[in-house]
Amino acid sequence: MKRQKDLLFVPYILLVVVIVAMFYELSRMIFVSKIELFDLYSPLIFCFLVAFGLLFFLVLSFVGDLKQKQAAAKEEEKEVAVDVEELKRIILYVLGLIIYIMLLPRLHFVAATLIYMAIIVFLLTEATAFTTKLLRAVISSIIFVPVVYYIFYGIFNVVLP
Amino acid sequence: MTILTVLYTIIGAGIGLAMGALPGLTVTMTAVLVVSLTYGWPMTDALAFICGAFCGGVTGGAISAIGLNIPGTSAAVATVFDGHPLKNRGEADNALNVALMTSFIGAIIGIIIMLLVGPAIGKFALKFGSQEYFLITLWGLTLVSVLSKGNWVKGICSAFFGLFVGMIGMDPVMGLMRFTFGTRILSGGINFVAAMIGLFGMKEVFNQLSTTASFNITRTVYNLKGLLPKMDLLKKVWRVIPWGGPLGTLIGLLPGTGGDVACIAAYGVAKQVIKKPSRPFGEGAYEGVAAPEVANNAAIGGAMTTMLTLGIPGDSVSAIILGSFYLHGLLPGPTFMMTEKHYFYLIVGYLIIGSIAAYIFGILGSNLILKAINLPKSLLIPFITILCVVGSYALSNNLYDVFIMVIFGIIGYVFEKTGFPIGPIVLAIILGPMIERNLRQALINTGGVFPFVSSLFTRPISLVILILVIASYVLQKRVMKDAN
Repeated sequence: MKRQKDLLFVPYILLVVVIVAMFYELSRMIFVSKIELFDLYSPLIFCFLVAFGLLFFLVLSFVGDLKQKQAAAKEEEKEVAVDVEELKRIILYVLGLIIYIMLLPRLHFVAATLIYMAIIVFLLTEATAFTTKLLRAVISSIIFVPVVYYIFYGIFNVVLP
Repeated sequence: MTILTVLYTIIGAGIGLAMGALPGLTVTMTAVLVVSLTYGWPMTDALAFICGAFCGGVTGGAISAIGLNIPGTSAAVATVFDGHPLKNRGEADNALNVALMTSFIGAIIGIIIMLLVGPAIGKFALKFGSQEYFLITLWGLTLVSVLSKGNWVKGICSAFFGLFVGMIGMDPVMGLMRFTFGTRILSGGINFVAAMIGLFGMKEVFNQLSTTASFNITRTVYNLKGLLPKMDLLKKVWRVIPWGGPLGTLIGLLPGTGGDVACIAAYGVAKQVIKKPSRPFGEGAYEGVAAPEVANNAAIGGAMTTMLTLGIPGDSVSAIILGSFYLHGLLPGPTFMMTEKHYFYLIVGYLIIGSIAAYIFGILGSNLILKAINLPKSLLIPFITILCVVGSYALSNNLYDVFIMVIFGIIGYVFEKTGFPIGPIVLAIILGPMIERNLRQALINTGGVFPFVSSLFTRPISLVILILVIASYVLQKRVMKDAN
């Protein structure tokens, strides 16, 4: 049986952080910068409405999700679960992507993309033989990167990193 | 219009068709990547490319819907219901023939209505005040949230999150810095195109990582001769065209709704209106393929009309196109038909060429596209990633935007997995400043909250809009319920 990770609370945590940040910034502007909140000309009124609205609907959504989760728990099934392997793959992919982006200013587009593409194709190819995987990765990278470079830089006039 | 722009429209339609046909690569994603990559182009060239991609993308969804039982785009969801059963009966050619033919007819109907209605709406919109604009923008935002897949409360939460993202940076009325938390990076705000590339492009990469296997569709091959226009097939489906086209355009005209709603609504109406279909619905009725395809393509004209004349995007694709217009210095809205009238007709021209090109490419290139779908994901995933990186970097030659794109990609992935729709985020980022500006102007003009609320009922146009808002909720919910 595949191991699964419940992601249900992740957006709630993110949105709570957003709400806290919004109210913190609002209170800073009200008390430190002395900007009126309930004034017709106040630049904060819309921010306040959005922060309050988000809080209200988030609570509503959270209560609904909790009820649904409890109901699902009784039936011994998880509502919002992601395969742990998939999650690991995504985390590793994001890390690789961040390294690639950080390498871009140092190695420039062609070199950095050649390396990145070769590694990703190698890791994602399902073939079991090491040499097959390596060959496919190297060949696809060597063909793909110059084509992309020519299309974007040569035809589209896009400035590449 | 030059030969070069015609060529860009045709290329855009070809790319849009291929991207629309690839499951997972949506029209929205195509639009956002095309917008970012054409950012440095002259405005007319970029417009041509974007319009072509839009037409091609909506048409392309049918190719995989019929061949794979997976809609290439959300606008082709209902095409699956009868398109794939037709393929299983050995009539894949006929199904795609009907889909391509009715897509083209639908697109032309939408464009004709756009030509007829656009100038009139533009003229009428000049009478709008802040209250009316506030209502219309809010209508669009709430409608897209409520009609999103899953829980409507989560749709509203997503919209509020998008409003927050749109507020980061400078206040649109007084120039006050908000939610920058003292950092210089946030003082310019979040680049909305970078955020959109993340939400629609990078998110899809993460989704595709769930499995590295490609789609197995080796057995599906369309016969080129079978895709050429046939009168006997047109005779079978002509009944849906007179109402399907106008219905799709009308849904496209509504703020917040587009091809996805149009196709489901048209399928629902077809089931009610057509008492004697060629086969029972769900078992390969030609009318079940024609109705959604006519409507989703007709919605293009409607969505473009609302966007150009009111400055309000109909759906996430037109939200992105609206953003690209801003980037190129075009300001769609009530004055657009007075000051930039020639662009309106230019866009109409691009849409017509884009629709014709999408039809021809659909006939000639469907087999090639199906082969492309079979590309291993080990190649497709890094390709999309690099497109996203290049696209977000091209916006301002800044790696900060690339990081923003990745962050929004993660947010998009997590939100989607947990049932928070991402369409409202995009619409809120674009509509947020409009809603805020109009609300604050209306509050200042009326002199307080209560006079503002009462003015919504006492001003004739805002009262009509209020009635329309309520009617649209009731009608759409009913149509969607029937369709389901």
